[in-house]
Amino acid sequence: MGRYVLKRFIQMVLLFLVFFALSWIALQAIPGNSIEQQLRLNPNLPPEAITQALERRGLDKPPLEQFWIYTQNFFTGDLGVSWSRYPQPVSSLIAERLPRTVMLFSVALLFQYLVGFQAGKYLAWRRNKRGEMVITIAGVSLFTVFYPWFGLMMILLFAVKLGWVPTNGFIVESIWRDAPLSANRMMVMMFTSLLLVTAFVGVTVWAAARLDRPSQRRMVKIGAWIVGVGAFFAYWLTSEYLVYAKDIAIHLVLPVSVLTMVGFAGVMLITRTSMLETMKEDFVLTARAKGLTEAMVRDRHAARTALLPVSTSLVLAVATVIDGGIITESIFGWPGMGQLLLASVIAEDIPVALAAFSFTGILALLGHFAADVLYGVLDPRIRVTSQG
Amino acid sequence: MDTLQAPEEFEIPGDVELLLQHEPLWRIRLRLMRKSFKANWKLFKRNKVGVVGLVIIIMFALLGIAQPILFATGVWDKRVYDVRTGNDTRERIVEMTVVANVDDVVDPNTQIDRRRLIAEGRNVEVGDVIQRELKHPWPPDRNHLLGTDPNGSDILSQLMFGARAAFGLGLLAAAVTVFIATTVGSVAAYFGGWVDSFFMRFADLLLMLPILAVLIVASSFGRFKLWHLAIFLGLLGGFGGTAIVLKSQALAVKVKPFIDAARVAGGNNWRIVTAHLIPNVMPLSFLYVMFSVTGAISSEAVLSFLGLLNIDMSWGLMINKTQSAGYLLNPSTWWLIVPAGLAVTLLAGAFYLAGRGMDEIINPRLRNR
Amino acid sequence: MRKIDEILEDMTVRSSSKFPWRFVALLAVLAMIAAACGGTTAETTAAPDVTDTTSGTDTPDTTEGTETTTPPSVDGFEYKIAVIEDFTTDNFWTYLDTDNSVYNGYLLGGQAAAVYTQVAPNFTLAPSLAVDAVPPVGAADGDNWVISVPLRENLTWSDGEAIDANDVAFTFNTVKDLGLGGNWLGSIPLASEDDPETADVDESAVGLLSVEAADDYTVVYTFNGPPGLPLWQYGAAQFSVLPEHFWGPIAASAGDAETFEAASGEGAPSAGGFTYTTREEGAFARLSAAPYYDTGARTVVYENGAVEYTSPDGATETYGGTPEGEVVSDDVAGPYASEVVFTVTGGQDQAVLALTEGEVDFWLTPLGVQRGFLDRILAESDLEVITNPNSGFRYLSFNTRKFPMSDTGFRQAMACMIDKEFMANNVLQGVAISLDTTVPPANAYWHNPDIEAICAGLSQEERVAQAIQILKDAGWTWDVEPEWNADNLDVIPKGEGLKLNGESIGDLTVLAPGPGYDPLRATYSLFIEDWAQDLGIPLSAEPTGFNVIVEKVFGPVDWDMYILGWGTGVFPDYVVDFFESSQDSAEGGFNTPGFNNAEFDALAAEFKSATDLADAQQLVFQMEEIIAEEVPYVVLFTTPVLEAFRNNLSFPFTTGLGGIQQWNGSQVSVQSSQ
Repeated sequence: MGRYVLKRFIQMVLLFLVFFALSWIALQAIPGNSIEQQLRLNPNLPPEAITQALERRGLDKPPLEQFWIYTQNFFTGDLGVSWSRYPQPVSSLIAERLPRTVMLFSVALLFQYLVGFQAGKYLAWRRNKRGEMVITIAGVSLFTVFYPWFGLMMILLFAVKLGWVPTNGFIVESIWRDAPLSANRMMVMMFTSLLLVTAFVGVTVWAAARLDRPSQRRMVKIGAWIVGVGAFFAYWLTSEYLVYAKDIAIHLVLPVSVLTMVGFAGVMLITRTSMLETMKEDFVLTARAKGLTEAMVRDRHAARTALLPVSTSLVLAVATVIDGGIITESIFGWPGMGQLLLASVIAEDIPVALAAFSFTGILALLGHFAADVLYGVLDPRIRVTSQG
Repeated sequence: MDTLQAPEEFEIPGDVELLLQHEPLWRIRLRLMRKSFKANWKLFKRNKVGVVGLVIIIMFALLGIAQPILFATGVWDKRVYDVRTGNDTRERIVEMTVVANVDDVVDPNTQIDRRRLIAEGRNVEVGDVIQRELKHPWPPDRNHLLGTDPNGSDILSQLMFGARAAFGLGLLAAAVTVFIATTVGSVAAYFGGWVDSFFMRFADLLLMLPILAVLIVASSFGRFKLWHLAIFLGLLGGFGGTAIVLKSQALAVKVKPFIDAARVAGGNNWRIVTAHLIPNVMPLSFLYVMFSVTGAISSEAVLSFLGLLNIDMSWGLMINKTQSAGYLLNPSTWWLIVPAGLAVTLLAGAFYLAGRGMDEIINPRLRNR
Repeated sequence: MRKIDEILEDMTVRSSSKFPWRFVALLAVLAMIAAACGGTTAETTAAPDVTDTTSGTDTPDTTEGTETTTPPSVDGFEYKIAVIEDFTTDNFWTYLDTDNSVYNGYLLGGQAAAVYTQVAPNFTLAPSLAVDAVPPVGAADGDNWVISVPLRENLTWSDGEAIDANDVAFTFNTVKDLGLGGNWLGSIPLASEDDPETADVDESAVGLLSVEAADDYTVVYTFNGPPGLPLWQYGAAQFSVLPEHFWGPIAASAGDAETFEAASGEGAPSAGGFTYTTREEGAFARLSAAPYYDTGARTVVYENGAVEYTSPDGATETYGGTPEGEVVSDDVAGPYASEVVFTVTGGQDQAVLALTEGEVDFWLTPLGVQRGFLDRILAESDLEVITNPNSGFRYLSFNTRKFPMSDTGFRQAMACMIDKEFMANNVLQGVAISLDTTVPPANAYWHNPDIEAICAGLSQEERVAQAIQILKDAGWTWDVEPEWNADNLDVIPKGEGLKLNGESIGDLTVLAPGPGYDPLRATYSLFIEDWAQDLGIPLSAEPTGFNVIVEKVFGPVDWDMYILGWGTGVFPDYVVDFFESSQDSAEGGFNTPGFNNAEFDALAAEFKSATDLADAQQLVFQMEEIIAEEVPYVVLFTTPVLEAFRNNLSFPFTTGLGGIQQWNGSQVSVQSSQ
């Protein structure tokens, strides 16, 4: 296992280097440097101003030299300065955007997977029943719906017509104008508390499964939920920052609901497929034969094994959050990493774009790595060595 | 996300072919095909999800074919219905009385509020009677079954053109994806070693890319047309995720006895791959055709929605134009947005559903107990 | 129980073979989504009843009285503005240099002072810090040209410090010493120094050598030659002036441009009634009202652009001619609002939502409100919509270096075929305004009203005949001559084998932005393709990315025609930039058509050194006439800027080139009746 991890790690580093170089080449190859064009298209600018602006961004050097300088800086931790928002450092742009993306998508993924997994379990169990048909078609319709359009329709319905939630953005100016802390700090706090609660409930439920008596198991499980969720609310309801947390939370409601609606079907179908497969396995048949109730067989035996591909896909989904965030963030006016990526690519702001690309690349690499290891650890039948 | 689940094992109808050497091979193949088609059709029909998908696909195919026929038979005049320059220039002048406010408009056909006319740059007073041309977009009527867009172009015609674009794009992208993925997957699985490592690392590389961002980069290259997009998507999918899935399927086939048998019988590697391995990976490949079409249609729609493709017309572009002109969230001009939005959703969904239906045939573990 | 379930299911399965209820289920799901948008119809039509009560009473007549009499109070209302793009800096220096977006301008533009300025809405040149009504012309001093400008005394920054000549000199020196670039150099034309490395740079060009404070209230500008209007009156006299007492220490400790421009501008004193206070990136930004030296001053602008200014202490002066005609703007300087709050929304749909939901009072956008939003905006009876022409134009450019575009007859015939009225009225339906000159009519002083486009006002049939005649006169021949077919209302047959002196035309391409980037120009290009083909010109429209077009037309000159647009200022020095032969784009200039006309060049040279406005005006008129006759560009259209705001707001003017957004939303003058 150790050797495998090392080998994979070296491969990952090499792969990242190739990825980094390729991304740079692709961005560099876009015809017409838009920074230069923007300057050139302004008749008020004397030629000196243009030359000077290019020099300051290092654009006067030949491309290969630019790449070499940029690479050196990148791997010594200096992400450089944005070209389109000169002289703002790239790292400060990312520090500004990342908490927002993490906040939105961690909550959204949590709901997607909770709903998707439950629905998938239900589907596998109600095979060829009417419920399956309805849920499948509804799920798939939502899964393949033209998402930007659907998102805007939901805004129209829930934010405009019903007025339950704000139309867009992540905070309301009137609440935050004199706030003692920034929205980003607030999000970090909220995310941390959410993570703690999830970890607590997760670990307790997992530990509870090892208990012998079913009644004990249930009690511990329910207890964990009550304590976890209770602590979460107790903390925030008494917090002096409650008003700010509430503001962010209410802005989260619509994007999270819409993401859950369009995303749960994917999880549902994976769960269903893998559950159908596991249900043919001997141990499920044995469990049935033992006379356990259907619900018991479903929840305790089949579902748990089927969890493996679902958690794998969760890990991989995390890796695509930024790319996937482009549309969501544009529609809901949530200025996170996705919007940064989109804007930087369109503006050909190579330092920012490359940093965002690298960020997604590293996430993807780690995701795949985690997925492989997860498989190796959770499913003894698949040894890691067999994975290409 | 769900491209990564590879069923581990499949039924291999191809086994039979080695046993029957005396009949011409193509005949046997044809017979087997027909037989398996019939059997599969029965299985497919049992799963209504797949049938729904198929019906929708056929509906859109008919819609796509209808447009050239309407032009050829002269039912539609090119000058009015062409998706690029078509324009209904008939003047529809109506006489209207100016009122102070929208609330005062009792009959929208004869009354108009002053603020709108001021917004149009006409300085009028309340009580004036004015001649006003009825501006596009026009709601659906006899001549334009789905109305017109803000430039006076026919929506139904655009929808039909978009259907052809979607089919062309989707099928080309899917064909390229699956051709490459099947070849790469089979070759990687059969030869293993560095060939395998190379292709799999390459696939990893493609999976690392933020796809939408990469497409945006690609679309900024010169004259990036729809078929360029199709091939680009095909390459991304073919060398990327789909290759990994098909490789694991090919691995499962590789260890079957008939492959060993062929090898013992002295078949060369290339022949074994093309004659034995690939045909047995094909069913799953065919399934991925369906999923690739869904992916391609959605990708095009998103790119067009962001206004990044230089193409004549597509469903995504219809939505983009509606949005940039400001009609997107306007319920009273629903015909600008609903047909195109529904079409993308329905066709992408239909291919997905059809794929799900096929999954039931191809993946025996999913069959009924 | 179980049994009944099974029976029921059995029935449905059987019935499903006859009726595709599953399909219906799918449709039902989608219908629900459709209902989400269809359902709102009833809602939106019913909604106005609620807001009805507020609409009738507070119309402009109540505010008209307050406008002239009420002394401004600082404890006023919040001026809530939606913008669709985020601000990227809060440092004014950075805004004018590298981050020169209109949005940064909306936020920061008001805080700088200027010696001379242009008065809204007619862009009248008027003194701001200066005493004299027009910029002094100055006099020669050896090789140099020295202009000394007296400043008004007792003007203060928002923190009470005096605005004086030292601030003007400081701003100039900071730009020069730290090497700031971008639009700073656009208004501060530094003289190029004797640098052996830049020997090929034209050092004879006039530039600014120094700006010094002779005393606290006299600024001395030194040029290395006599400056014309573009360099002095519409250049150096108007550059932004920033407070030395705030920025001086920052500049001194920064040492270089990068560090300096990364500094925050929070708390910077302002000379415009508002100081920048805070922002949350991606969400909002705020300005707060601050003491303003000009509060209470009344500025009345007349139709002919003349300005009547009454200072807070009651002295009245007139600038820009003798007042004539109607009053177009009557403005008593505030600030009336206590805060200007910008909310950054995700896009235009969200901005309209913010507007109709009452979250903001004004949507500030350089692009204007799209026509499609009108339905929703007008459904709210407390929202007002105004329309003004944009200051800019979209055009078709010919590569005159290349046959057949090098032939004037060819260009004229093409221009004749392009029916701008038909395009603007029938096809683009009011989202485009037909335009014939690079200086639009709304730029009244500089616009030449006598210019008429080739074939203006003709019908399609007459245009075809006229274009054929133009081509024939220029010596063109056809194998098959095009003819107008009155029955089909089309050209049948189309021209074939078009030749000039035996030389035929190869395939031509017109590059135009795709429909995703700009549907207007994309549509236009297709019609131009059609019209050209009618004449037998083998032209095809090629939807091309914006960046690719720019790369092509400003690089090697192997293109035929293209369609793009320019956003222009009011002072028409761009006419020179676009068509002077020394400005050829092949050599890094802006003359993309490669237009080379000796008569034009002579006028252009004269214009650049003109120091008198009236002379300059006549020169621009003549240059425009040459452009209209020789058609290197076919100016196609401009777009209207629609703006929407809540009717409790009242602005000193609502008509003018570029609309209210041109003046950053009139922050210091806007009043609220609530």
